[in-house]
Amino acid sequence: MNILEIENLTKKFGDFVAVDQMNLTVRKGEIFGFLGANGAGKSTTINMVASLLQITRGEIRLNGRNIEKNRTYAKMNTGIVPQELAIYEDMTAYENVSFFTGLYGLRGALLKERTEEALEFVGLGDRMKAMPKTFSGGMKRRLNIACAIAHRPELIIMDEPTVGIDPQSRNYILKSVRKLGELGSTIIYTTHYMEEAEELCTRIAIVDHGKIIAEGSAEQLKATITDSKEIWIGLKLETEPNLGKLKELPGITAVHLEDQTLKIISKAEVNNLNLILQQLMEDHIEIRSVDEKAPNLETVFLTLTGRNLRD
Amino acid sequence: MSNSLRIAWKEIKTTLRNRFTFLLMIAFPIAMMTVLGFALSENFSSEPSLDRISIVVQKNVNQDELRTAWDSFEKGMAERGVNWTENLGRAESERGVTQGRYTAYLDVNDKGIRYTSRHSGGIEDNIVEGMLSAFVDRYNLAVAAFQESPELGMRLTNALSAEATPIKESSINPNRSPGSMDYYAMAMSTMIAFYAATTSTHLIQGERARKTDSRLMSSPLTKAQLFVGKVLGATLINTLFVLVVVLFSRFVFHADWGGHYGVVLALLMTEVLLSVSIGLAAGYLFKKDSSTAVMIILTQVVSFLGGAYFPLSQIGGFLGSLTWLSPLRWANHAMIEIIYNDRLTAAIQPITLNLALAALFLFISAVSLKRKEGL
Repeated sequence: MNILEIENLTKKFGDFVAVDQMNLTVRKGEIFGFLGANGAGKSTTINMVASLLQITRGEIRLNGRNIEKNRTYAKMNTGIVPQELAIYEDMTAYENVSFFTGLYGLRGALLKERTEEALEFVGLGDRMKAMPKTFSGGMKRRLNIACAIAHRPELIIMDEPTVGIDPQSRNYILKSVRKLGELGSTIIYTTHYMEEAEELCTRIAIVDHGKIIAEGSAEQLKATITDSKEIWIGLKLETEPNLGKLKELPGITAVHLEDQTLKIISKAEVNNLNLILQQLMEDHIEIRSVDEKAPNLETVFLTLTGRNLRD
Repeated sequence: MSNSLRIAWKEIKTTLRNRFTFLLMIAFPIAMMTVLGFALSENFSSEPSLDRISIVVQKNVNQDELRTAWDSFEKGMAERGVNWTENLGRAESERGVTQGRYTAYLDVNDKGIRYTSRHSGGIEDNIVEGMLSAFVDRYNLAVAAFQESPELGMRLTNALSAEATPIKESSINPNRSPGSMDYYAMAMSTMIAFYAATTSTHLIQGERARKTDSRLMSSPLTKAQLFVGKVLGATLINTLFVLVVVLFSRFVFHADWGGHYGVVLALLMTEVLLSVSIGLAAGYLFKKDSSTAVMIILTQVVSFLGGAYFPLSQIGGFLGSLTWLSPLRWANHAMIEIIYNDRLTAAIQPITLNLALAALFLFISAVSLKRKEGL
């Protein structure tokens, strides 16, 4: 059963089309990955689902109800974890969660119970009375989540909840997301970390230029590029390699340089490794390692968009 | 608790925790009040300052009773600071009055007293006129009485002689005018009420800066509820700050706030509402950082013109007219009338103006907020 249906959704800012006739469905209880490079249109889509932006054209339905016509219903049943921390530094962790949860109509003992429950859930039960300014980045991120889930929304939107935090907090958050999924919440999860999406999400949609260009489970997405291979070449860079020339070589569909590693997507059946290495040597670039990787989500993304997710 | 009240309560709580706001809204006005109140105490006197009173008199009294009565009056007036100059001649005396060297000229003789005053409108003219008219009427009455019945004339002149002056000094409360501390208690309270404009530029802008706007707007909270809550919270907390300053001045410096606390508080509260509305509108009318800068400049100009640092109420001309543009001037003027003259109706005009302008600025902000996607 679908909890969220997006139909021909379009959002324009002046003449710029940020979301272009997008169609998407999210099923009840799934953790849905929403991937796209910066400016692809995913935040705009999420903001329309969260009633933060007006829809130019098209429709969004939550549990079959048009969210524009049922604004309060949609808001009551949605929780958003914004990418940027949305907490008050001068209010305690408890006050933060209680304040935001109170806006959903919860009062008295129930409000107290849900506030404490949410803080316990994100592992801040023992820091309820502390001010967020005394928290680490990871703890603030966890508080950011607690503020969004205390009113027990059916749909939780998490916009890059693990950005810029230590591995321990990241693991805690990922565990919490998984647990929320197990408890029956539906989660839309955006991330720049492919391994997070691969590990957490039951289904993934890749958005580019305001459109969904691929949708399915991680395995299904990877299966779409079985005719591709990914070659990683470790370099010692003193001068910039000529990526344009590499892209012209036979079979190559995408070339991306990340730090000292050249990531090349190529058609699997074309044997072009010698040509690639020859080109690099002609450019006087020192080669340190060559590795052929099995396709992963990053390969899928690079193949489909020609861009790295972190671009 | 409705969402508006929840927002208002949050606003009050977080403002109270902000040390900078606390210092600006309470410590600063109290410090200013202390410094200016003590430093400029000499400039505030409850006694009205008078020019020297000089009267030129042409005396030609032969009747003993009338001369005794006049001498008694002259002596009594001299004891009260009146300088008498005698027998300059009528023409010179009248010239002296015209040129302002003398307050009045009196021609005293057995037929009565004729006096000429300069009518400049000064307070000393009024005093002399009051003193003289009472005496002159009774003196002339005695002269007339002598012609009809010497016995009655004697009785009247004896009564006149028995009094050093027919003027009796009396006052309901001779000290009812603001001293320096009274003035600065009032001026700092109205100034701090207007300072709410500076802090209010952040009321909604602050949510955008903290990124909490997305969480607020994705909740069932409506823009109208947020708007009402913000205005309510800011008005209440800033009124509380003003009240603390008022109470501090009342109980520590014994500043005179009169007996009409309700009217004074209502006046201050409407000024706070106006300030909050101006600040809120500035947040929409100017760009993020410039709105604060504009408000800082505006509050300083308004404070200066309103007499927060030095009383400008006596200044005339263009600057004098300019002072009436300051809401502080309206408030200070009305409060002096309420506190020192018990004229409660003086509050009507500033309260009406404050509310009308607040409504205008709130309307501008509300329309801007409604039109904007998000906050």
